[in-house]
Parts: sequence; C-alpha cells; structure tokens
Amino acid sequence: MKVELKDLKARFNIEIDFFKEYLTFNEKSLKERNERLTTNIEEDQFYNPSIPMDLVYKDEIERIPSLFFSSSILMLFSILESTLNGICREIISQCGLPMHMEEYTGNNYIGKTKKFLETFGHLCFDKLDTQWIEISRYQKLRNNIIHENSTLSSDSKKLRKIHRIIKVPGN
Amino acid sequence: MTVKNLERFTELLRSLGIKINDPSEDRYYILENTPVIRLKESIVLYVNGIIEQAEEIDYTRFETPRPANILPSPI
Repeated sequence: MKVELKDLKARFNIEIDFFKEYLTFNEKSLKERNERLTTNIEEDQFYNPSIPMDLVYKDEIERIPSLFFSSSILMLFSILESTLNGICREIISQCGLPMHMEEYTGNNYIGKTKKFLETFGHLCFDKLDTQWIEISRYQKLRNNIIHENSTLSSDSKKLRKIHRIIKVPGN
Repeated sequence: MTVKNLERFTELLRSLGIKINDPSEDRYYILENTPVIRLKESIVLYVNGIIEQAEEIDYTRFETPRPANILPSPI
C-alpha cells in the first residue's frame, strides 16, 4: 500500500507560489520607499550640510525592510510546519495507524515531525541532511525573532541594565 | 541568552551572512532578502524530498507500530 500525497503537494506548491508573489510585491514597495527616503536625505542634507543625514535616516532605511524579512522567515516556518503536519496526518490516516499527531509531545515541532516520519513513516533522512541542517540553522534565527525581537543581548547585559534602572530612583 | 549562547548565535548570524548593528548596548541584526530566499529553497527541497520518499514507500511491508512502545510515557 502506498500513500497518496498529490493534493498536499499541490497545496504546498500553491502556498510557495503565493509566498513568492507576496515577497515580490513587498520588495517592490520597499524599493519605492527607499527611493523616497533617499530623496528626503538629499533634500535634508542640502539644507543641513553639517548633519550626517545618512546616519539620521539609517534606522528608517534598515529597520522596516528587516521587519518585513523577519516576518517572512516566520511565514516560511508556518508553511513548513503545517505541511509537515499534513504529511504526518495523511500517513496516519491512509495507513490506519492507531495514533494522533497530538500524542507527540515536545516544543520543537519540526524535529517532532522528523522523528515521526523516521519512526512511523520509515523515511530515510540521510538524503535530506543538507536541507535539514540548513533549516535547523534558520530555526534558531526564527526563535530569536519570536522570543528576542531580533536583538542580541546576553543575560549579563540585561542584568546590568536592570541594575542601572533599579539604581536610578535612589541614586 | 547566556553569553556562550549569544556568541554561538552571533557566529550563526555571520555564517548566514546577516549584518549585525551595534549602535549601543542593544545590538540588533538586519535581515535582507537573501536568508529568506535561501530558507525558502531549503524548505522546498526538504518538503519535496519527504513527499517523494513517502509516496515511494510500500507501507504493507511494515507492521503497524505500537505507539506506546515508542512514545514517552505521559508522566
């Protein structure tokens, strides 16, 4: 008996096509915004030659596109997780396995589905090692976007900051 | 994030070609489109590879596994 994943594959391809279009559309908007900002910088620089306008506008130029690309990373992980979940569910349903995906516990959803597909789906992931390693690297990035808002701060730095804030009132 | 994890993560960002800004103590990184494109490509290859393999396997060859033997206990 073989599992049929044609519909799921078609849905995944559509999702990826939508994503590509979404990316192109927003990149175009970001490019237009960047052109407008460049004009503003040139004008402001003309009237205020002593102020380094490129530094004044630096955040505005960089942060908004970065926010968009951060959300795009999250969106891609959402597509990946729902597709992997769909594959596992299809195997369970079509093979009549006496279990549900909900029975699989753990925070790392992508790792969880990989374990399921190896154990119950009898898939060999050796061929997909390169992609798996790459996705795992991006997963760390995704976690930082979600939990740290794309910032880099060690606990000791956070503690120093908290200490400073606490000290301020009494001084 | 511990100092060690921060170092590891900073190294990861650099290896992914992501620019890190350091204007103050609150460091942040700037994402551009390259990591998004690369991740999308990896996901497409990964998912298609899984689907291709899953459709090739003849599941009648395998005994239905008993989840209780593999899944961790509820406790």
